Amino acid sequence: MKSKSLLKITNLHATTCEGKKIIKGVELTIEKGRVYALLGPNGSGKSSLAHIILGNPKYKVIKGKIIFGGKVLNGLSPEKRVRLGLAIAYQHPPVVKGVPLKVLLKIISENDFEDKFKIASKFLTRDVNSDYSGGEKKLSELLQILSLKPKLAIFDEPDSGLDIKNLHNLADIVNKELISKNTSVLVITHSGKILELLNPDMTSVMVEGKIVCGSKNYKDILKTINKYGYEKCKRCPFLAS
Amino acid sequence: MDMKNVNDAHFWQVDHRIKRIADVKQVEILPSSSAWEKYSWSRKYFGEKPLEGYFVWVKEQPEIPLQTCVNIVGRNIKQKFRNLLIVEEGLKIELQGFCGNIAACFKGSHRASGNIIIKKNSNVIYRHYHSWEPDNVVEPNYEFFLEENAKLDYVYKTTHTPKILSVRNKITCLRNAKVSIKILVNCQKTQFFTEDTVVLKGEGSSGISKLRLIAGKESSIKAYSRMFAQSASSGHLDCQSLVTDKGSTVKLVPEVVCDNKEAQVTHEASIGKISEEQLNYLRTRGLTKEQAINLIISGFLRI
Repeated sequence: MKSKSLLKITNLHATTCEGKKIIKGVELTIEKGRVYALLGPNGSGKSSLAHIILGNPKYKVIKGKIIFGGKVLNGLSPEKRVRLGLAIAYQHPPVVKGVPLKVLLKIISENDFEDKFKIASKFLTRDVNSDYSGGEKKLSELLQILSLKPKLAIFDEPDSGLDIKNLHNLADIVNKELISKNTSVLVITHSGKILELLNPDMTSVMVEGKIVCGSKNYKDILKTINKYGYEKCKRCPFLAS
Repeated sequence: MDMKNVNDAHFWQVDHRIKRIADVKQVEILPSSSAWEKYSWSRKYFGEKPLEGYFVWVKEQPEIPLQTCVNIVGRNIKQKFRNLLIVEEGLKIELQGFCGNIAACFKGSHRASGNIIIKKNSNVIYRHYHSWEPDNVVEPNYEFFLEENAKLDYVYKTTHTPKILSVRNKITCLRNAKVSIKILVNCQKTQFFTEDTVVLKGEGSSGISKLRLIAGKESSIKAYSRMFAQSASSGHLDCQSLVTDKGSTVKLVPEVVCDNKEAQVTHEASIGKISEEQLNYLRTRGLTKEQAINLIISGFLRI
């Protein structure tokens, strides 16, 4: 069955507000209901790409288009992109003092979400991201994403700072609440630890602001990276698309 | 306390007219002028016979929180309150005071001064809420006196500020008395002046004073927060302000003075803008820029 493109990024170039080039011609297509993984070394532009998709004003798109659900996102505010069905789980979410997580979840939830909140009962009344453990931060981000009921959920380094038990818990919820319900998922990961738990349909590698290679089999990519490191991906004819 | 539930108030005044004084068994509540006449000892606090205001004498442990409510609804109303609250020894009370407009009104003023005497071993939680229309002048000015082992947890919060707001508090703590004072004000087109002074007079006394002030829409803030340690005591001042408008100015002046080598008093102060990182984070949760700013401000004022 042929699936429909949900996110289409063509020839995207972007800089920071200070003018530093960070995205240099990214092409990316994510289809509806599919899981896409983006691997890459530190500083390759993966997280920046995620934030650019969400319209973070820290970055400027200087060329190219981001199309989501048939609509061009360029120039739209973050909140409008969220309303179209995008959501992001931050790697390092900021503390919002004086705002308990429960309050934020109630604001952003369209429907009664109390049952889902129970898994975060230990920190629901604490301020958003204030003194959260690594696991609590990831769970808080995940709950916020679930509350938004997105069409495409982007996870920025969901496996960083998580022990194996928490990683499995997180992946179980993502599989049950998002992937099995036909929500598209983009997972950005440096280590790739979460991939075997999410089994992506497509995996690519980003190096120096470009997506340089990709495969439908994430194991091939991980095997190559583990053997040669990320630098080798640039020149790898076997995986080049 | 909700402004809509004025019928719960034990003392309720609108403009210059007392609408209600509730009968509470353990507490004597009178207009200040009546108290001045009935109790000669009260004159050392009142001075001249007050024109208006309330006298609340908590003699025994009340079963419910005490509530006062003072409103302005008419035009050109000039209130001048003189209040006296006395809490007898060993009691634990909660007090909620609400002052504000309940209709759009103009050129009014609300000036209130008073004394709050908290006797030995008593514990008072006092929440003082204000909400005003822009075209008013408001000046609360209170002196708190905490006897030995007394405790005071005082919060003054204004969410809707008048054009001129001046808040003064002086707290004197005797031996082992403890005070926590929080001034939380969201200034919008307001000239705001505040001065809080904590005097740690008795050995073992302690005080924490926190200011959280928002400078929005052409506001001017001048805030002086002082802690005087006159004995082996400890205190801390924490002054923070957020500037949300280009046309606003803020001056925060914490001052700690120590007259005893066994005392420790510290302070911190900061003035900043709303964090872009927080703002963008909330916008990626679907909140508009304005909603995100309002949520950050409400969180800043919630301590």
